[in-house]
Amino acid sequence: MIAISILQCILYLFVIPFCMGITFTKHFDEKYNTVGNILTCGFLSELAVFQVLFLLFYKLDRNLAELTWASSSILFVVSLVSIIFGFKSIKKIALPKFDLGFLVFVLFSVYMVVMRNLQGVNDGDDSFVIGNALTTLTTNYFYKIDYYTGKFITSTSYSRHMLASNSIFIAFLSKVTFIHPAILAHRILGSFVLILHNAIIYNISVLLFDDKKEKYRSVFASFVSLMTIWDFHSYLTDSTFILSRAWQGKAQFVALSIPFAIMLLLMIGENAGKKNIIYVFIAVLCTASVSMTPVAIVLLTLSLAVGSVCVGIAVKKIGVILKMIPALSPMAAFAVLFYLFLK
Amino acid sequence: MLESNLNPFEIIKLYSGNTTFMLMFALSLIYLWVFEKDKVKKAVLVILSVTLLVLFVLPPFAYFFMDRMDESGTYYRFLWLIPTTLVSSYTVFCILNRFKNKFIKTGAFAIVTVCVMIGGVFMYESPTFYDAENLYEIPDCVIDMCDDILIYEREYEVVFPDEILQYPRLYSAYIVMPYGFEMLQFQYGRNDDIHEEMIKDTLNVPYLAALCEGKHVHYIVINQNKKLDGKFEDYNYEFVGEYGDYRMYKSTTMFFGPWEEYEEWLAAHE
Repeated sequence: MIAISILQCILYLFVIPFCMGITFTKHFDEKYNTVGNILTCGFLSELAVFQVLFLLFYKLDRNLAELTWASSSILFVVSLVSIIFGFKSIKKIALPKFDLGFLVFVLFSVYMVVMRNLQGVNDGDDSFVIGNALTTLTTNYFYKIDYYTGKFITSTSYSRHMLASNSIFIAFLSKVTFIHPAILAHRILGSFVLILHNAIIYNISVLLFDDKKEKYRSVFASFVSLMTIWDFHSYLTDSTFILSRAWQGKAQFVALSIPFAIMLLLMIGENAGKKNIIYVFIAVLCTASVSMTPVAIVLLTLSLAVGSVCVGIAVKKIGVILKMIPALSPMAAFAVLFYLFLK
Repeated sequence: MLESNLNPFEIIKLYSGNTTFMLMFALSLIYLWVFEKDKVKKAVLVILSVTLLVLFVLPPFAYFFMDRMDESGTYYRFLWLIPTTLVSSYTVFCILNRFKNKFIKTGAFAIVTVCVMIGGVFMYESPTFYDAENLYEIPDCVIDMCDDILIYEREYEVVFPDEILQYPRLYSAYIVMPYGFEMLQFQYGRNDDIHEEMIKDTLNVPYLAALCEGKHVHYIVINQNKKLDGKFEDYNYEFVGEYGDYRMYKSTTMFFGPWEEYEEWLAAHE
C-alpha cells in the first residue's frame, strides 16, 4: 500500500505536472525551459483543470468519487497529449549551472523542507482546509457537512470559500494516494510547494541576471531564501505564510502565483509581449490562483493589470497591455461566480 | 485576521514588525529608481511596487477593499503583491556588482548577510511553530483520545476544550461536536450553552453533564487545570482516562455500538 501511495504521489505531483507543463515551457525561450518552470507550470495547470471540473461537478450536484474519476481521466489524457507533442523539447531542457552557489541554494531549499517536516504549526485555518478535505473524503459530498462540527450545513457561510477548490484538491489527492489528508497536506503538499517556490525564485534569478552575470544567479536565489527564513517580522508576512502553511490555498497563492506572475511580467518585458503563450498561461495562472483563494480575483488581477501597464510603457508596446485583457478574462468570470455564490 | 478598524499605515506598521526589512526595501526602491538601467526590471520591480504601495494607502481604494468588499481583516494580504524580498535582494547584488575587487565584494556580501540575520527575525523560533509530535502534526493526546473514542466507524459526539478544539476533526470526520473551531474564529453570533460553561474556570459539573446529555454528547474532555464543582461519575458520565493535560469522560447511558445493533440496544433499554 505504501508503495502504491508513493507511486501515486509521484504520478500526480511530478509526472502529470511535468507532462502538462512542457506544453507551455517548450514555447518559452530555451533558457527558461527548466525543470522548475515545467513542474510549476504543470502543477498550476493541474490546479486550473481541477478548479473548473470542481465547480462544474459542484453545480451538477455530483460527488467526490465522480470528480476523482473525471479529473484523473482528463488529467491523464491532457498529460498524454502534451507529452506526445512536447516530447522533443525534453532534450532541450535547460539545466542550472552546478556550482558551489547552486549547492548552497539547494541546501537552503532542503533546510526549508526539513524544517517544514520537523515543526508543526499551530494554525486554526487547518480546521477549514484539512477539516473540509477530510469531511469531503469521508462523506463523499461537497459542502453538505459542516467541517468544523460534523453537523449538516444549514447556512451559506461556506460559499465564500467554495470558489477555491484547494481543500477539495487535497481530498482528491488523498483519495488517489490513499494518504490521510493531514499527512498529505502537512508533509507532502507542504514540501512540494516549497520546492516549487524555490524553483520559481531560481528562474526569476535567471531573468534578473543575464549570462554575463550568471555567477550571481544561485547566490541571489540563496540570499532570497535567507531573507525569507529571517522574515518573521510579523505573522502577516508572505514569508510566514510560505514557510508555515504552504499546503493552504492562500499560502500557495503567495508561494507560487505571485512570484510566478512577477516572473511572467519580466518575461513579457524581455520579449516585448511577442510570445502569446505567456498570455495563454496567464489565463491558466488566474484560474489556478482562484482555486487557491478567492481573494486572488482582486489581488492577482490588479497585480497583472498594473504590471502589464508598467511593462507596456517600459517597452513602449501597447500590445502588452491589450493582450493582458483577454488573459485576465477568467477573473471576470470568477468575479461573477463569486457574486452569485455570495448571493 | 486583523482588527477591522486599522488604517493602511497601521497595517504596514504591524506587517513590518521591527521595520528592518521594510527599510531595506524602501532604500532598495530608491536605489533602483535612480540606478537601474534596464527598463523592464525597473518597471516590474520598482514602478509596480510603488504603484501597488500607493494603491494600498489610497483612501478610496482602501475603502473599497475594506468596507465594500468586507476584507478589512485581510487587507494586509495586499502587501503580499509587493515583491519586497526580491527587490531588496536584487539591489544587494546590483550594489555588489559595482565593486571590482573580489575580496571587497565578498566581504561586503558577508556583512549584508550578517546584517540580514541580525536585523531579521528567525522564522523557526516564532511561537507559530512547535515540534511535530507525529506524521499528522496533531497533538499526540488528541490522537490518543480520538483512537479511544472511535470504537466503531460511526459518529460520536464529543465536547472538547477550546485549546484543542481545532484538532479532532483534522484526524477523523467521525468526531462530531456541538460547537467547533468556528466558535473561536468567527463566533457567528452563536451562544452555545455548553461552550459558555466549558470556558469558565470552575465547571458546574451537574449543569454541564445535564447539558451534554441533553445534546446527546457521548464524551466530554476537560482540561485538568479546571476546577470541578462536582463529580461527572454522579451524573451519568464515567472517567475514561487521562491524556496529557486532559481528562475524558464517557456517557453511561448512550449507545456506542454500530448502528445495525441500535434497534436491539433500544429494545433492551426500553
